[in-house]
Amino acid sequence: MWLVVVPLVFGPAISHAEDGQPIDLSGLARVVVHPDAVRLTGRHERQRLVVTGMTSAGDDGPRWDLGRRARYEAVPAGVVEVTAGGELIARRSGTAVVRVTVGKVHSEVRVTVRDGETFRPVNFTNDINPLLTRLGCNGGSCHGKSNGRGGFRLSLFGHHPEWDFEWITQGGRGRRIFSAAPDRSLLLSKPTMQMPHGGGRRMSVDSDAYRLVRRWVREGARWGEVDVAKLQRIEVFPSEATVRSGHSQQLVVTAVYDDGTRRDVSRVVELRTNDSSLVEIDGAGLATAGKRTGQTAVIALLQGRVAVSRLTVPLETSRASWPEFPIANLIDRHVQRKLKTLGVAPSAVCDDAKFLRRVTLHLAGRIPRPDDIEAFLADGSPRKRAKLVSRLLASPDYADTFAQKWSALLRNKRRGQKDRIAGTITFHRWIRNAIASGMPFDRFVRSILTATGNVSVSPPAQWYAEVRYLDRYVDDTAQVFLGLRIGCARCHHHPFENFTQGDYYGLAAFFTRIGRREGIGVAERRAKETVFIKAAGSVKHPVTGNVVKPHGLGGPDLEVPPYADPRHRLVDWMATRENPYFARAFVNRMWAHCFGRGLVEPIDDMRVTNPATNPRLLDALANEFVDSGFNMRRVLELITTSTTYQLDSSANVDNLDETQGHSRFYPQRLSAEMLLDSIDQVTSRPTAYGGLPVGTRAMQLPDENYSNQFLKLFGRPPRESACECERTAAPSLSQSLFTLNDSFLLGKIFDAKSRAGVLATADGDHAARIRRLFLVALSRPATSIEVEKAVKYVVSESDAKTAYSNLMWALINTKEFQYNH
Amino acid sequence: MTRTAAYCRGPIDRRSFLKIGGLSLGALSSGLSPDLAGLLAAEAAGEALDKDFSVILFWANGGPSHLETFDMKPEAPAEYRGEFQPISTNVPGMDICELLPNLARMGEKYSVVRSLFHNRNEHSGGTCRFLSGYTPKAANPADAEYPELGSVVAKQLEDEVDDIPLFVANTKFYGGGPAYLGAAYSAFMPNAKSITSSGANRYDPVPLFGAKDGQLSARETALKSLRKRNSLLSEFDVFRRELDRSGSMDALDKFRRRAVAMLTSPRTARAFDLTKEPESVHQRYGKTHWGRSLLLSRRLVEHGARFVQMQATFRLKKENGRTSNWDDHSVNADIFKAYRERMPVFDQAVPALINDLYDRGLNEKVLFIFCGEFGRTPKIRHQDKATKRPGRDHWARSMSIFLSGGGLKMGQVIGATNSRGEDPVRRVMNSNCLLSTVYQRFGVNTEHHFFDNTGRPVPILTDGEPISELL
Repeated sequence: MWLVVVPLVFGPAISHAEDGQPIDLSGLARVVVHPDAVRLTGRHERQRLVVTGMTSAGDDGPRWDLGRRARYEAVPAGVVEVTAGGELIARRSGTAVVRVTVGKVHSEVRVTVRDGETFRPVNFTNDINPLLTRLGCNGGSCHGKSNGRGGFRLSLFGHHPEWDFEWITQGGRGRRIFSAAPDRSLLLSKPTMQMPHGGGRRMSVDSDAYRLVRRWVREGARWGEVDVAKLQRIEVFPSEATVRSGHSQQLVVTAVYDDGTRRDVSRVVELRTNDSSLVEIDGAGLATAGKRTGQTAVIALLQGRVAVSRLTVPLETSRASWPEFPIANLIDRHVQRKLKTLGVAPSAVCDDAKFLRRVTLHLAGRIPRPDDIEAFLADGSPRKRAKLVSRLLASPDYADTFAQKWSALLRNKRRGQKDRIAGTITFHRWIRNAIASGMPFDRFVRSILTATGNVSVSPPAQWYAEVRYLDRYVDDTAQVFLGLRIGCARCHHHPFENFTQGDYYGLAAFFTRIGRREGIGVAERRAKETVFIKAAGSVKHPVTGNVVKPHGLGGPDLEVPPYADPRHRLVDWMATRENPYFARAFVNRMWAHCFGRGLVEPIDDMRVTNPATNPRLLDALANEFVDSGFNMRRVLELITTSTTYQLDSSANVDNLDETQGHSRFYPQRLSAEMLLDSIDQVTSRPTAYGGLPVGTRAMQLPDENYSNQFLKLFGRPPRESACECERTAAPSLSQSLFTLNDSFLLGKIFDAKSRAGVLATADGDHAARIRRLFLVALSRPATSIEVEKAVKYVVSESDAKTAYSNLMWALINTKEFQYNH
Repeated sequence: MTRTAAYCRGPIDRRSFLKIGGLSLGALSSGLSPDLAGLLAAEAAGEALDKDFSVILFWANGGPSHLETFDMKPEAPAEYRGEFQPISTNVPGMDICELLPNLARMGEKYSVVRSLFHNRNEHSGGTCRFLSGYTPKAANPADAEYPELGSVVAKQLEDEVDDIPLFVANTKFYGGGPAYLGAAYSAFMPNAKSITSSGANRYDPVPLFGAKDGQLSARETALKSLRKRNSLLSEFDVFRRELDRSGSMDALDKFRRRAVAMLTSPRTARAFDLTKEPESVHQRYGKTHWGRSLLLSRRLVEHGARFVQMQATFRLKKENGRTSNWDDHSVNADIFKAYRERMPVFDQAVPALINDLYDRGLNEKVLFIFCGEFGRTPKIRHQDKATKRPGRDHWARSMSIFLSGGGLKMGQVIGATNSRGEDPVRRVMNSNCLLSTVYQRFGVNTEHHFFDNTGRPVPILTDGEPISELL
């Protein structure tokens, strides 16, 4: 019987080590079966059961996925067949009870089969099209390409089934479908490679997929019932689970239709894992954990709907006790809970010198000065770290650091046009003042998005000088303020989100009344423009041609009276507590600023299918941010005073490989500006920037137009997009060549007035001068071994200035200097 | 690599399926897990890459005139055809400008494509369009919005780099750049001072090592201190690399080792050292900026560089024009005087390079390309109020490309424009066909996607077939 097919339907089989794994079920108290009742309509319809074993501790205790260890018995026999893996297959109409037994415990599920003697009619939208997605036919590099492949085109990811239906049944001179001899249809002979197919073999003749398509062709390749139930959403069960290394978890995806029916679509949806080195997923929904510890998500995609299951693979550890981890604020509570789930213990809290350097870099954008280090190390107050944070947050360096961050994201760009200087400088100054004065973030955003007038009276209007087209307003707004990369939805349904083109143009509609007058220069080079709001304006859906009303994502259509500025309504929608994106995007960005990676990563890709590593922490931080009145400093203060932030970067026996849960501080490379400012500080040779006063730091540059090879090579963003990913801290060959050979850096160090030169001729013994050099460069006292080695080198060199210069060069090039750790 | 893998990357064979787990085709093509997609593509690409192929791109920034070089129209009305007559080459039917007598004697060693076009008529936008295959959104963007040809090659071949930089240039092109691939994939510029229009024609490609004029003593001293500093660094750089799981610290070490190798390697020093060439060779190429640029290019590809691009800067005499590029508008130059002045230099340096490539057997693996961002307006105009001198404006509707070597079929003219050189009429080709040809020779799969800064997958090319006549 072909029906008792447990392994993969579409793909090649993977052998899982699973189920050879012994598990200790001694505490097993009960089994819970999902779903608790099953209704199947049509012959051979299927429903997978998920059998979860629990101890008497209930939700707090361990859980086991036991579907492949349970025994199943259907009474009366003949209504449903149950496979060894726990899949029910409808055989005839009637009702039955399936008894699920594991060892001494059992549970029962009631099953109702309707129309068990006839096949459910095949529906193109609900049955055939998802298959084309799952088999990859309509992907962006195959037939889903904008002009198709090999003369055959499909809509990208099948988001326009009506087009696909026509192209399949009417296109290709009718050769794609032969109802009289279904196997000769190109739709079947190509993907099985019975005819040459550029895309290779996508399914076998002996698969359910083939049989389904064949049946559809034989039945006349019909669109199906017009009023067939429409898909509303999909759900994955369980939505969250812990899977031990080498073990598996069965997932079931359920489609919910608008007539209330539910169907197991695990074998129809496309299932993917976000990190296959942690968890692999097979075509029947079985997720298997590999050797690594961590967490990831399995995502399910069906007809533009998405759902996820978040899986954690805990560390197998025999640790007897949990290390000391003081709970300083809500962050630590959530992080500790997560770490306990992962079974990974946190590192110890770092020492004062490390904390001082770390937090000074993050909040003030520079390394600490020697006097600050000595004072901080000597301070005996138990609250000195918190006081330091307050001091830094009140410092002008804080304003410089974050003014730079936002200037880059808001693309404050001169583009070599001197007429634009007035705009870029006033906008930068405006941002800096807003940060320094503690302007609430919602007001900050409102001032920018609703800017009108000329930059001389309204500096934020500079944003509109650079961001010029309807799609860029939407893309930048979404990416910077909502943490969403929504550009996909401009041309097609977002492949991994529930966003449609209608949603995209709903956002665009907020910007349709923008007018511009006066100004000089063309396009992005324009300067001195006046931005104003026109009486009216609208945008049409590119496919339907209908005018799209302004609406936020998931929000209602809005009517904006003539002459009103719809952009205010956009900010109104954004800055509410209920908005799922705005506050989360901000706190996630600040988290990434301090930790080198966001709770959602990439930080501006906060889609459903890319869940946060710690969603409850993200929610809690976002709430705190809203409660504080969108106070930007408050978020940074919470982060930097948390124990989590203050953990050492060195590893304990558990957490060397841990990279998401923040069980230790992950080292981050300094940004280009931080690095150059720090080098200037160490060498005491400031870099000159054209037209700006001596002593201006890289962190204070108002726009992108200050040419500097060092900043360019070390990853200063050109501000071409609103993505923080433009800033790269990645090492490169050019950087290494530059530091080794270019006169820019060598000049700073070997200059007669450089600190190295001064130290070389200063009083005191070498040991004292070397200690000074280490303190200045590495922001910590030198160890005695380091002093000994350095003295030995310095005395070996005939020229003291050369010796100190070489030593300084070496320290500047250490990882310890180039990273925040 | 199977043929199907090149078409649609997907889990079609068991091996790749196991490697990438449950990811199916869509994931790879649409942006979910770029690291995995990259991994698989890199593996696939690694097998196809031509380890020997390299390119010298001689870039006539500003836009060379097809009507004054390789697409003469002697039958056209006077206001189109200009002052120059075509001359026959030793290849029947291949006529070129009379200013190129040396090239005319060696037609079997190059091919001319006369029928490319694209859609951007301003310098930087045109450069971005021509070298990336994509039309930029901004007008006059200083930097490319999509990665230029050389950056893509540098990215795709990065694992092959040894002690010589992969991608070398004498300056950054206006409208070029690595875009979303990041600064690591911009060209390595040994002497990073770009030549601007105000600069004299004095650019001397080379000096590394801070050594002046290749003086070996200076170089030795510089190297000695470099080695000393480097060993001192190793002594103090004791931060535990394994604490960084991102790979960044290891990469930093790797690049430093490579940089030290590059700076201290005699091979690299030789590659950049023009004094290693005998006087007779210098004289063959001509002791001009172009001659030296092309001679250096030959040395670089010989020593392992894979993509060398040289901007063909040329400072005109005052009486002929006021620019140092090829932008011969009436306001900038008298186009005929400009060509009379620069083409003899060209007709010395370029034939010298081509002969050199052939003599050394490099013509099978080194492709020389001469072109600019677009052609020039067929109808001569005289807008300059003071002089009324003749000039031509920007013309992306048609352009000529000059190619030599690269293991391609030489000695042919491909395509044709209409009687006035306005539009291609035979073998009409989008300029991406040239990129496609070059990528094919490198073994770079043009369907490979990079992710731009909004996370969208952008294939290397979306259109353009390799030029079949050349293959």
